[in-house]
Amino acid sequence: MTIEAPENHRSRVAAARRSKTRLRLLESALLVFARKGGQTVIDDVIAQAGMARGSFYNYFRTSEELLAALAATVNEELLQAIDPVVQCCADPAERIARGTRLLLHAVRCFPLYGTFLALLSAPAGDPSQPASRFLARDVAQGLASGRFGDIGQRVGTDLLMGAVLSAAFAAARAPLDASYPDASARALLRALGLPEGEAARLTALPLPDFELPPQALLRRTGLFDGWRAAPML
Amino acid sequence: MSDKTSDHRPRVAAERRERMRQRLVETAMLVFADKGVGASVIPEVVAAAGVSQGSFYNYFRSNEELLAAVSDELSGEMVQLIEAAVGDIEDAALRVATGMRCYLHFARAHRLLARFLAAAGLRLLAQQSAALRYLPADLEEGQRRGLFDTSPLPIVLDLIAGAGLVAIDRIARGRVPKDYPDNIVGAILRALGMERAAIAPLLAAPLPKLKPAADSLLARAQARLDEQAAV
Repeated sequence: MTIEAPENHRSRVAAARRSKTRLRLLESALLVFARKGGQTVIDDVIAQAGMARGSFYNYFRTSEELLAALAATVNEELLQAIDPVVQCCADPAERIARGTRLLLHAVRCFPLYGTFLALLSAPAGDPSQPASRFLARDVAQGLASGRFGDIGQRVGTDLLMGAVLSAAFAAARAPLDASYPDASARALLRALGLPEGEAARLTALPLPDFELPPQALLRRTGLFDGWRAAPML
Repeated sequence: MSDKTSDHRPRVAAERRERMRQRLVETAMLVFADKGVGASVIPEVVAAAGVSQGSFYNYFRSNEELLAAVSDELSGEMVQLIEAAVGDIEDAALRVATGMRCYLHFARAHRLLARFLAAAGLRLLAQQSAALRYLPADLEEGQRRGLFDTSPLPIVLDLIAGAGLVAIDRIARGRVPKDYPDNIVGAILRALGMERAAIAPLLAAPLPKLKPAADSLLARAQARLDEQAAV
């Protein structure tokens, strides 16, 4: 039996506590943000979290930094939850159809997502955007399979990314129609080079549910109740 | 004689005020393009324009107001340029295709503009689509004539605005191949429901050359940037 050196143990405990506190701040920020939108200030967040102002600054230097962390976390949670149900399609075109539709449905049911994205500075073509990572991979597989025409990797990824961003932004301003996600995905598949019939078929297939892990902020705050729910405004 | 002075002074003051406002807008465009559009850049705009913080607020009450001033002026200039180039094109599909090609090629030729639009990002998506003010009517006409399929217009417009935004961001970040703008437009036309064979001639049509007027914001800001680079 190995016994951990006390200083290792202490730093491990400290790191765990730190990440727990950070999570609490993010959770509080998400709740306040859902209530107050762009008017959210640091005072609201620390009041909600029951923390001192000083300790806030141990985690985030500005409210912009907090917001960026929040957007990144929520973004990653959604994508990580959607990806497994996308990956289980064998056909790359169906993967794109499913991934895009689920993302757009998530955007429709969780309009705060668009509000976050709009508040971030220049998120558009940022290669570090996690959505762009997933979409780029799916486009690459579709191109390799010969299912898409000559659209090319760059143009294909940019088009999908643009559609998701601008749908998110539109959803933040006014609720999206329930038919929006499928109609948009259908047009995107045509852009990628699929014939209209194929695009129509792939975007009419039944969509699976996806599950967020219990520790996900979106689940803990109860702000996202799956993509079949009505938009939370 | 005394009448003349009283006429003269407010006019001079108004002119001076307008010049100062222009200087702030030009400077802001450069700073935004360089540093992003957050409120934290106001001190930099103030310093670069050579005015005091106090007099800045005589012209703009907030960062948002300044940002709106820059973007309104730019999108007005772009609407005018593009509309002058494509307004007379008879065929709706050719008009839509040429308008979008003009927009992206113009951004590719004017990196300063692309950098500003990319920095403004989603915040200005609404104003940016104002640069394509005539697009909804043109798309509707195309749908009516059976050139495009009948996808709901808001969806089509979001798709075009989003593709445009990401494309502008790409262009702002570095060199993109010469055919990148046309490839984006080709993909958009396919999304609109056009067949490949119908798209090819639209993309091969001659591209009108757009030249910003010497007194436009874009030209003035570019001159200011060149001046800075020369120092």
